[in-house]
Amino acid sequence: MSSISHGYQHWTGESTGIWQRRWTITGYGLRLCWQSRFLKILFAVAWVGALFLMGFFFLVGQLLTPDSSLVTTITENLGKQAQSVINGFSAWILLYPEVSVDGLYRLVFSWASQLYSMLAFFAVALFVPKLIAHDLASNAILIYSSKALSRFDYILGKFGIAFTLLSLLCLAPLIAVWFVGNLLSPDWGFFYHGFPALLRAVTVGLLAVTTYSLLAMAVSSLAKRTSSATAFWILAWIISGMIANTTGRFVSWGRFLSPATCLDHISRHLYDLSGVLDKAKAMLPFFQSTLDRLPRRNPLNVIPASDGLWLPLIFLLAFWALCFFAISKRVQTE
Amino acid sequence: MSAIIQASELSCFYGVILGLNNVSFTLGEGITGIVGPNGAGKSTLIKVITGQVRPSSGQLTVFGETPWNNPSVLSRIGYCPEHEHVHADLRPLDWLESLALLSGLPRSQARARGEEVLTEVGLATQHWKKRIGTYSKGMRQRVKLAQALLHRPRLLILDEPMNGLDPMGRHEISDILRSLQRAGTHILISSHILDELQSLCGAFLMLNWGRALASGSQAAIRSEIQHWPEQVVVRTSRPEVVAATLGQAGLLRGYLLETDRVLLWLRDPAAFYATWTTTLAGCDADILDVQSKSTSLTSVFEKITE
Repeated sequence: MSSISHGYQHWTGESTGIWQRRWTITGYGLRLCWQSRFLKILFAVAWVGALFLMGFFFLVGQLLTPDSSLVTTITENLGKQAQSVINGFSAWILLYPEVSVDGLYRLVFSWASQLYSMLAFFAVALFVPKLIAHDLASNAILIYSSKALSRFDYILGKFGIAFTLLSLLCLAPLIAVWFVGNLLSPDWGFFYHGFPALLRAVTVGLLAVTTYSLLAMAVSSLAKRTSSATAFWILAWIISGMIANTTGRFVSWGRFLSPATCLDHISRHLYDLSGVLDKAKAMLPFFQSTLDRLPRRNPLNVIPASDGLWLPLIFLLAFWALCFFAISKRVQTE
Repeated sequence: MSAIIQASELSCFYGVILGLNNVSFTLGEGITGIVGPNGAGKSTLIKVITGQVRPSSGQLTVFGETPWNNPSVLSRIGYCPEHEHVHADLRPLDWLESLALLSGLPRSQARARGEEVLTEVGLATQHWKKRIGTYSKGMRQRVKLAQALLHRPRLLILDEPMNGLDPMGRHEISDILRSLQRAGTHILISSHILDELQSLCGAFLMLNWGRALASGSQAAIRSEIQHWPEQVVVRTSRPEVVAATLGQAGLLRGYLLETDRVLLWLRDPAAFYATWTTTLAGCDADILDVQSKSTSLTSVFEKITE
């Protein structure tokens, strides 16, 4: 006689809410992805980079500390010219914190965002097979979709995996840099003056993380085998870049046929580094003369102007819609 | 008996391929078998019932609601699919725990419930720590059944659950299903092994080429078949003598002689069963066994698909 005969009864206890069930998919997927050693290395790179940036902002804070032994040691070793630059920089921060602190954060976050985008690309290449392709290849999706979940719940749960991983990889380090960097500064006004830059970084980061997550899910759902998902991801990136480059030569909007170009343009528009430099030049003639003397290939001189926000944003939203359509079509049992 | 599943003019197409064609039926409580050859539409019907596929036209309700994308219905259904749908690199308890959480069980009870169902389906505890990929087909089949029972469903749907099981395993699974039925779970089971369904199911739904041919109890389906030429097999030492005796008595429509038996097509089953003992007692042959073939589920199905 089966043990069911003794005391079997239908489940009458309270069921957990839908968000908890969605989180089950996310949590389970995160644990699965975290088994990858290479992903752990990427996270280490991202957070070590963040530690360096925290150190940099600590150093900037020290410029405002009178008789800072750290600054004294550095300037003594660099010579008189460097000392005068550092003194000028300190004075600028003291006089115009609303521009200097904000500008510095924008500059650092803008470069860091590009670096973290690269890390995100490699991270997705590592975890893309474990998103939807894993379930489609093993047909486990048939069992998941027979549970008390809608297709949307499943997609949202999977999106949570990519979004959480990429946020912890690309967005959280920048927020940590802002918070710890300001905490280490001698003037807590840095929190106030650096906040707009943080908002820009978070906006750019959220757009990038959402785009990467949706693209990763779409690629993962299109791959019939887990082994081909990574190749699909790299190919999709290369091909979209080639298409955007070629089309962009004939029509201006053609450049936005690549999500990477859209993100790049949006990022440039939101950080608006040329605007910050213009303000800095207007405030201190020192900047005007120094920047004019810099060679043309210097990064500060080759910040390309943005072509506006709306067109790349519209294309980006179109990419999101396309990805969602592909995912919802593929996440079926047949 | 209240209806659990109701279909009305249900059709389901995969592009131009027909899955189900204008099917209407009502399935009630207890254990119901879905019978049909490959391509009959059994799996399509199961997918519609479990909300995996949306019908192209018509309507199907489970517990009065449409199952497509409806977690409320799915929370009352347990589904054990036919093929392998298990991540091979997982251990059964980890997998069951995550599925229990997906089904809405609280975290504090999910693992305990996983252990409970593994015990219920008869998977020995020494295998619990192994990865599912190392399991035999029969063991994987038990894990699949366990995941369907996790949330104690009111309706359990099993697609070919006996595949890969040895006779002892089949017996145990049948025992589990009977226990579930006694506990009030309604069960829908599809299988190619009709003899097993015959002993297990109280009602049947017969499908062929995407159409519902009949539904109801085996006796009811059989009684609906007009002009049923009942077949009887008589195992005997002298088949030709038995056939001649019954033929002279006017009881046969036809017969087929074999070395140690004769297959008889009866003219009037009622008259045959009233007189066969006395008729055969007078003939010069040893009667070893008399068996009706027509009452088996296989023959009912064969007749209905003719």
